[in-house]
Amino acid sequence: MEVTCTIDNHKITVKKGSTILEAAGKAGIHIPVLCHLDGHTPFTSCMVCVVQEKTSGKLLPSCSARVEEGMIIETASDAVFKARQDALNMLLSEHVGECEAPCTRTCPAHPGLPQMIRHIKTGSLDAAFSIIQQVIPFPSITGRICPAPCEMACTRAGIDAPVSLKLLERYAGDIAAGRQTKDAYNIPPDTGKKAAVIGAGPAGLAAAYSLRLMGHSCTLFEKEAGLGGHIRKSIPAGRLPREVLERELSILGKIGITIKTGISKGSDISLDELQTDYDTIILAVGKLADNESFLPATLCGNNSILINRETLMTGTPGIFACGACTRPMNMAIRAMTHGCLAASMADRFLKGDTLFNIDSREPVRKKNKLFISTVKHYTQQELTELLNSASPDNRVTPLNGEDRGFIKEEAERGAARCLHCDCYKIEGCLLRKYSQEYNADQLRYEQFTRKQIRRIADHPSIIFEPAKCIKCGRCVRLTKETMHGFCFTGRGFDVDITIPFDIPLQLIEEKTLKSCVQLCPTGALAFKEEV
Amino acid sequence: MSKIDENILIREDDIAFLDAIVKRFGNEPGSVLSLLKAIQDHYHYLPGQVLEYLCTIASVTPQQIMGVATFYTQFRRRPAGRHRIRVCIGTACHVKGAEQVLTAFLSHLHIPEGQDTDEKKIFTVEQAACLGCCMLAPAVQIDNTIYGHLTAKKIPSVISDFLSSLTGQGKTTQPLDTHNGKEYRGEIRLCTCSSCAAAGARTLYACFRDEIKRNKLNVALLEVGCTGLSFEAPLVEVVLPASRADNRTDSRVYRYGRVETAQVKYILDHHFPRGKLIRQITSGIYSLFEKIYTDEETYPVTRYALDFSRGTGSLYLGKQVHIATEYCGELGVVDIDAYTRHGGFSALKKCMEELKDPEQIISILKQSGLRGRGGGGFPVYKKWQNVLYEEQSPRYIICNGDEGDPGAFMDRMLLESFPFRIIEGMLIAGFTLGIHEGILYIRSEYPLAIDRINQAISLCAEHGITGEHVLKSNFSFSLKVVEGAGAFVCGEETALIESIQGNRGMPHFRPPYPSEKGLYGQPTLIQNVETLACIPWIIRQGPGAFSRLGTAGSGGTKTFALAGKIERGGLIEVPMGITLREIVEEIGGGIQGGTGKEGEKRLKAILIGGPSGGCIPEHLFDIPVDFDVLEEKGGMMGSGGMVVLDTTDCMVEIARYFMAFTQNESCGKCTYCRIGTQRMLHILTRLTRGKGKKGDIEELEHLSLLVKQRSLCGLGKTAPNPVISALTYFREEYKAHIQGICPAKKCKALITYRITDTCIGCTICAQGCPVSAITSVPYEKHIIDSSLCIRCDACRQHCPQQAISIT
Repeated sequence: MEVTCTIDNHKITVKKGSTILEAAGKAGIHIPVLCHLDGHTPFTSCMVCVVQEKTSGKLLPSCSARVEEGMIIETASDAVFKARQDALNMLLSEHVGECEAPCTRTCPAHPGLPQMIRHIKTGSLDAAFSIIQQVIPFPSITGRICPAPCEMACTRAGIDAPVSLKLLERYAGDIAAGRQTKDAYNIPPDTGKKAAVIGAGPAGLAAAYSLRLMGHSCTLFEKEAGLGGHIRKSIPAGRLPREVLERELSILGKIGITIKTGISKGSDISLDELQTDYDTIILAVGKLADNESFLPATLCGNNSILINRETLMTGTPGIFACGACTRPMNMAIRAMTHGCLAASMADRFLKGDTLFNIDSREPVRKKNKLFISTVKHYTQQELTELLNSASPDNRVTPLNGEDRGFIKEEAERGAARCLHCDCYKIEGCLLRKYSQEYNADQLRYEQFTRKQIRRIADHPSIIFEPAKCIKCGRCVRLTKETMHGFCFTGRGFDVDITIPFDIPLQLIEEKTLKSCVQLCPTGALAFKEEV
Repeated sequence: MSKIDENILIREDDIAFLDAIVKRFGNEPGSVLSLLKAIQDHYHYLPGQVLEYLCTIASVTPQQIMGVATFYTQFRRRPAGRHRIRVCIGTACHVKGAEQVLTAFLSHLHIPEGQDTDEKKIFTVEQAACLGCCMLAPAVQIDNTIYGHLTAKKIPSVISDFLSSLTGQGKTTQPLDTHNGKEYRGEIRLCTCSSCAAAGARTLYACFRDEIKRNKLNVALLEVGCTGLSFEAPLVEVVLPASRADNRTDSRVYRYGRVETAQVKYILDHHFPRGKLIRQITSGIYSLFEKIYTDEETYPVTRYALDFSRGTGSLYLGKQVHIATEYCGELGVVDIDAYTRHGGFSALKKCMEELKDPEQIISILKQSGLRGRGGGGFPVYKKWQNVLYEEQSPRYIICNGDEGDPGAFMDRMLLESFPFRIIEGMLIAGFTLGIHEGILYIRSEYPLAIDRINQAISLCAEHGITGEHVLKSNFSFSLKVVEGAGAFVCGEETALIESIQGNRGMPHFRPPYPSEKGLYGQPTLIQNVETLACIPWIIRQGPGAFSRLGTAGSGGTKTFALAGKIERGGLIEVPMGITLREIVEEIGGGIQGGTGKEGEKRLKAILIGGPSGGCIPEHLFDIPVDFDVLEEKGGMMGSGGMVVLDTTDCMVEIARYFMAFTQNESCGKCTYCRIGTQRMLHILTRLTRGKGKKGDIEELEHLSLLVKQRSLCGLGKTAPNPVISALTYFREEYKAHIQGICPAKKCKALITYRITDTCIGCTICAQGCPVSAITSVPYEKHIIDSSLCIRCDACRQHCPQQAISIT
């Protein structure tokens, strides 16, 4: 027998007894699920797969509700979006774990420091450099001059002293320096678009660098003879040796940026001319002088260039601004990140992408902002637990002196101190994916008590962190028939997933265990090798 | 588990024991609960290594064993003391001070914080969801003895009473047979159900038995179905046949309430005199009664004596109609002949021999208006129809006796008092729907119910009521009991099925309903105990007789466990449509100790339906009891627990109590119930601790709505009801808590104990204070140090001058 229903205006006919999820799947309509497993009886735990039955207005878990004749289902209504968000907010209030490490979160550039560190630890220096260079254009510079708020945030600081993040960043930058050729940057073919960047301070340098790496041809204008702006002017050579500065900046030329120094804006170039010659312009002119004549009055506000905070675009389409000319910048890395952001906005502009989401008038950037689950405070016991997966060594001091940096052995020792407080399933976590998609908020529901963080790491390639579990029961169902496996223990909020009798993970049948890891919708079960 | 375990190593006798239980209960996954129970009985807890070994000899995985062992509260994973003290924290006990009793036990036994067993491993103190002795609240059970009406002060004597009773244990009870074929001179009727036993009925029974035997009296002694008059328990009825010399044509009944063992001799001598002494003793009995009735405190903790001759019994019984509890107080509980003589099994016979057609039987149920008594109120005939129209077989019937509401004990009373009636109901369903197997799922907290049902099952089999040829027909039917292990959620039908199959009681989404895919995936009819108990009467008396008793939407009668702050409580069966005021004020006798004076405590509300129900405020007491009316007012018929509150009860605290219960009983499966109830509980806890914030009420309402609408099963969907109804009727109290005020003066963090000028300096309060917070100089006004005071209320209870005030 067959039944027909309507899902999002598609008429779908399925076998009687089919679930709404199955029917939707048949029509290619995607419904997010966290607990359901194809081929298994529905479990109906997460409540993220809800859809709305239009006639009654009822919300139904699509994984288990059956299709009934004539049903009209909506999978994308506001009510459904809100209900999924509610379920995710609840799950997030129970989920204890960090998506990204505090070092990553604290730095304006959001660099993959833990991943860089893990590459340094294993000696994969190219990989380490390529991670850092994605968001930090000149690690040898910032690795010397940065005030390093990342270290202040480092979880390891709660035990003894932070991981030497700054020295390690510098190490990755310095080691890779010899290998910096155009090929190392993997630049896409030319887009045929021309961009101009005015000002070669930290923001301008980063903007030019980013635009070029996106395949646009790029010209950098600077009024001084040398590049670097503030970095060159105010940082003493003791902190930043000039040969390091020159070496780092030489990359710009290597990757094909046209550099025009000694160009006075206003007298040598005018904005009108630039607008005719270039498809986009990024202003990174530094702190504005009192009587800025180069810029039309419409662009300027009270000592700064007026921009949209989210898109960094000025009132004139195609003209962006970044760095100290828009607001005070307290760190070079903040200015550089601002430059990178302006570049990516200019890139969208050049491609004809919208900077705003038309529906909600929400800036694209906000919408794309990564969802991050965080842990506010670690208990001493939890820190000790985390320390199990790291070297107990004290903070490493370079033998040759702080200004000479790490040698290989020191870098590896320093890297081994990282607690890996970032998630082992930083990619592929469904909870994070949907939390982002449904704009979920981890702090919507007050967390009065939370689960203690534990790491079960006896398996060579798999790690189990029960506090991240959202009790979807996938692993329980997958190991139901195997000799050993996972089970629910306890009741109510105290329900946990455990391995009975503290049996080592390795005793669980390997193939099944691996599918448990792959299908775990959070980082509760993860492969250790994921960088 | 092995890590927290002590060093039990598997020895040969352990192996022999495990082999034996596996042989007895089978090694199938479905046997897990029975196996774990046997292990727990043997070791008093579940030793990890024993469980590990069990996995190697039975076909169960460690996952299944641990999942089940940690789900049901009956199972302990830590070693226990020799005796288990189970402090009831059911609703009635809670409102009458169970927490103080619990604290008192822990401190008297010097049990350190966070632990539950004393140093010498003699006593383990646990909390019990509900012992079902609500009228004896607060109550505790020590092994198989129940003590009622406790206060912190009585704990030392309870412990010593229990320990001294141990030496006298081991007496076996002998059946009484003294009439030698002659006609009895009369009957002594006595209920020994758990509730009455808690008031001393079993000791009393033994005493009557010994006395009758000793004096060779030709008197029948019957253990009868409970009258429900818990407030008079133990209640003794003396029935004298009509043929006696006084020319009366009807038999006479004499009732004695709260009888003590010391009075047994006098009662027997009075009604069944042996020669000359009569007159002398007759006068003696009255003078004795007068004396002890006035002075309760001079008697030991378990004994009460109050006058029953005030006629309160007739008020209590006056508005009641006995259908599920038919012949209560008259028939021997496990006397199949007596049941048959009084119309028992005639309904079954009528179905099998006259009605025959299933549709016709179902239409009788439809006309009767019978709705499921388990809480939901689903029309019974519809459930039966659904099973009837399924094609698959075999099919099953389950009697749901997993009464979990911590303030209800109707199902227990019915199972203990009227086992044959329930069995007959199951047989009728079986015959009608082509079911040949029945299961009675009874919670393990009801050992007497399990015992009596098992006896009744054996008797039915012996008498051809069940078996291959029911009543000599070709219809076969077999019955068995499955014990629960302590999980409220197992009252939910899909969870119950999981539990019978040996799993954690985690519900699933319906449809499919059990009528389509139930036990072992087969069509299954699940009915509550009371529902089944009504069916024989309906078939016998006709649907009209039943429906006429109730309202248009709810036919017949309903049993309730009436308890809380009222004069008379117990099990009652009343026609639907009766008002709450009639129940509370006429049957229940109004507020306990209330005089109605200005400034005194007054009736406040009634809690109906336990943790799934809500509160109905006093000003709405004129509404009729009816499934739909109650639900509309924010209550719920639920299982039928009714706990009456007075003005000293705090509605925020009550909501917190219920939320703590449901959160703990949630199976933890679905997001909203697992997490949502926890978030609600924390807000409520904060409010009772004076840490409320602006917006808390709105957040509670938001969470209530989410949990109610989106939880997977009935437990979650109804969990917010106590909060929602309290917010509807007592919102001001919530607002006051945010301001740091508890209007009922109940929340400890928000009140202060003070001694007023009426203090005469007697020092009694100081002696009763468990934390020595009272400075007392004789004949001077005493002073309470608020920083030491734990607000246990002991001083106020001790003070003879009412000189302690709460502000």
